[in-house]
Amino acid sequence: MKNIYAGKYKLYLILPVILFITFSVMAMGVQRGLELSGGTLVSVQIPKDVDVSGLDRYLESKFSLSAVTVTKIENPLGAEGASSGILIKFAENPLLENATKSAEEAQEFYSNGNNNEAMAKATETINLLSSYVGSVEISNETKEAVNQSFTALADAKQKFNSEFTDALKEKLGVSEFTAIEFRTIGPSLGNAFMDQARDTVVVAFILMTIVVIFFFRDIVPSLAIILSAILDVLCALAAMNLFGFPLTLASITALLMMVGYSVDTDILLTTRLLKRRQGTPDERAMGAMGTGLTMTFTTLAAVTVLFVISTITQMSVVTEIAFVLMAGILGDIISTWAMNAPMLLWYVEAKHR
Amino acid sequence: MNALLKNWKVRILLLSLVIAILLITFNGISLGIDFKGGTLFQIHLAQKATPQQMQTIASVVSQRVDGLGLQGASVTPWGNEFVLVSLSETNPDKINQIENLLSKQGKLEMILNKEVIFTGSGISNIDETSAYYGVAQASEDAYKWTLPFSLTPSAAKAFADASYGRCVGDVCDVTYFFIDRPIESVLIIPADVYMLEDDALSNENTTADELIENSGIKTIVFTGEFNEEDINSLTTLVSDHPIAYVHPSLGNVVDTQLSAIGYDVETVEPASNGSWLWGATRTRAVISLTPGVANIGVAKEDMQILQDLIITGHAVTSDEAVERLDEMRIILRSGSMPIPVSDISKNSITPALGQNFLQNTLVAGLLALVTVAIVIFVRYRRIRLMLPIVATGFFEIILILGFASLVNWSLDLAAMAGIIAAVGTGVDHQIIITDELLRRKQEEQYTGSLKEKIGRAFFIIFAASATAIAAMFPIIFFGLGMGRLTGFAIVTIAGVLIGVFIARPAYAEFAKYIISHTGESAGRIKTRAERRQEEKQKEQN
Repeated sequence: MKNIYAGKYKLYLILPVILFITFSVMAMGVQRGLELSGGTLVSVQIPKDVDVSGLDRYLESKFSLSAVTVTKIENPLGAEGASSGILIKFAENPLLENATKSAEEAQEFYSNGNNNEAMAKATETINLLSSYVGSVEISNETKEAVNQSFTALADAKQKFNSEFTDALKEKLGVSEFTAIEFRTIGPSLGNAFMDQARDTVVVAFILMTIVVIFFFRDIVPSLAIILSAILDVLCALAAMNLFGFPLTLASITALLMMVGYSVDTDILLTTRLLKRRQGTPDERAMGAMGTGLTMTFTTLAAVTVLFVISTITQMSVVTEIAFVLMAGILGDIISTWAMNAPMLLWYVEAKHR
Repeated sequence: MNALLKNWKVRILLLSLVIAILLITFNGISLGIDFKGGTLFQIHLAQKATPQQMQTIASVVSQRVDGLGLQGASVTPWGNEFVLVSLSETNPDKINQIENLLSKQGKLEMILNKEVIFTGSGISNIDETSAYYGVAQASEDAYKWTLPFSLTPSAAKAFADASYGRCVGDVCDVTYFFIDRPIESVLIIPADVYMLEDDALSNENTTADELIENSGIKTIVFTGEFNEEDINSLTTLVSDHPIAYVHPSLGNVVDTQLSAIGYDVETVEPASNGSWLWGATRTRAVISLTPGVANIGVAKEDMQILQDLIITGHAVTSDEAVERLDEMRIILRSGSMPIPVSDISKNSITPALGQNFLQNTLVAGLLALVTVAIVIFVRYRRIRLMLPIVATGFFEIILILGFASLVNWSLDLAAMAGIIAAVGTGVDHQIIITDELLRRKQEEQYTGSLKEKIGRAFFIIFAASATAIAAMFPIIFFGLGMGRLTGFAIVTIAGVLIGVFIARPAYAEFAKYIISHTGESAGRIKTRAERRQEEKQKEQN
């Protein structure tokens, strides 16, 4: 095989630059999953087979909800009897979302001793919820008023759930559900998870940078490794956006796992290029590519098997993880051999001049 | 081969494998609820709690879960408003019972003559071993449960004072026990139901009117419509009593009217003894004093202060009686939570589904390993090189499982992902070692002993492993997603460390052995690149 780094290797850098821009734009469009955005997931088990067409629009208009998605699931165990399940996901009802926010602010003000503000927020909460709980005489005592706002909130949620259940029964023509469960992640909790996830990723990258610098004692090559990892993450996020995989705790885990895999090839490349003396740098890069691609294809093959099997057996968490790994590792082929390698060669060349 | 077995690095791997297999065999591996089936409750408190309150709540929750005798339950306070409970139970009836128990704040009140005499904190001990404790059949269709308990000295004094002389002949006053009495509510009972309440309560030592009076809960008897007086009192009450509990038969009739006034209307089903008021007021027991307890005929100064009392109650079936007794005992013993529960979300995975997950994961893992074997074989064309790489990957899985067994870490889907991550990294690193060893004559300048080559490979391995650990560490540090991913991060880190310090050094010895033996005798192993180069040279010639 011809040494691809023997000629004008710097031209390769055009590809990662274009991809960086494209992937960054695409990555911004990734949907946040339920646990990171907040929202409600209703899982319903129905004793008979039902038609769910048009259910999303119906619920959207009836309860003024947004981002309603309805997924019908076949019983994973293929249990006897024609039973079916539906998963309905929607963003938190805006009214309840605002009320939750103001109730939490009331609590916050109260615990800071700011009674007037707390009272105002508690009143605001209860007024917001008046369509669910009617008008409530608000206590003069701040603590009590704050409690009232939480009670009103809990009641409003319960009322919404029961109205929602009734509407669903009517629309589907089912008198009784086998089971119905509401799983709500409040937007504040969702945001807290999101912040936490962002902190985790940022700190992970900082720690990785420190470790890489510690091993190579050289800033430029270390930053090239981290840049390559960032491109991999962007590639995975762009692919998630393209194929409709949401950002969840599982996929964030997978992103970090993928980064762990992908730096292997970058570190291999950097070591062979900077720490070895035999052959020319481009020969060394080419040699590293042989080993690196073996590593990459081994991992890619294993992950593809996981993806296929988990898709068939409906283990959605594993599917999510495997997809992120697949996308990221494919991106790593470009980020390592079309970005990190030319950058390092350039660096070595400049240093020796 | 003997030389290989004498190598200490190989011996460490073999020894670790033996230990891991022993651990897995005898200590077992605990599976998480993803695989074993089980239920995860996420208890959301109505308000943010202080750290001390969180501790109290977690301990109350633990005591309640333990009180039901559930195996393998774990209770974790999380942040300042969540408590996570995971247990292996998946039976829906039992789960509902647990949810019911966990959702109660657990405020016990004992009322005598409309006054609260003592609360849950007045109870110092419950004696389960006492002969009085238990359930007995009272008549053909009635079971009686009895729960002996002791009061603290101050509660005993208050009780003695309150009960002193409260008997006329053999007829004594009765005491009422409530749990989470809904003082912030108004009860709406239809007239026809109200008429039958006295009958339903005939076995319970009380009447509808007395129960209402002692509970202190405002009750309106609904006669088909609210009269002016009702409307007036409802309008006044709504500020402090914003919840209206209504009988199911009223349903939509009063719902709109009450909602318009500002009530939150909730339907309550009658209790199992047939009384609606009993359930709506959350009465647990009504017990008559006895002349002895009331110190009849004793001068007030000489009255006896009783510390040991008994709560009794009835139920129609013995199962129900046991359930009531359990609930009472658990709530009394665990005490009340400083902050009420706002909502509980639960997620059950049935054992069958978990079993399915486990099988599928194992099949997927096995196939992934086979795929790795095929790719490696395609690359090196030598079974002798492919086998050690795949075998070491397999050994690593056993070592990680042994580690999980050692620290009693329960494996869930996240931990499985961690195993895959660690083994995947391991295979990558073995490829690095193999390639370092194979790169010889191709680059004549690249000399150095096998040992040096391995050293070079290990530099890459250490750097890559340290980076992977750096990426995992913040997951543990921040407890991403309420700690649900901690298992993944810990297993990955453990797996990477096991790989670096046990599996990789031993593999390097295997590889050295195989490469030097086959290399010298049967012609050395060639990489594809080398082969191509040779072909090229032939063409040129």
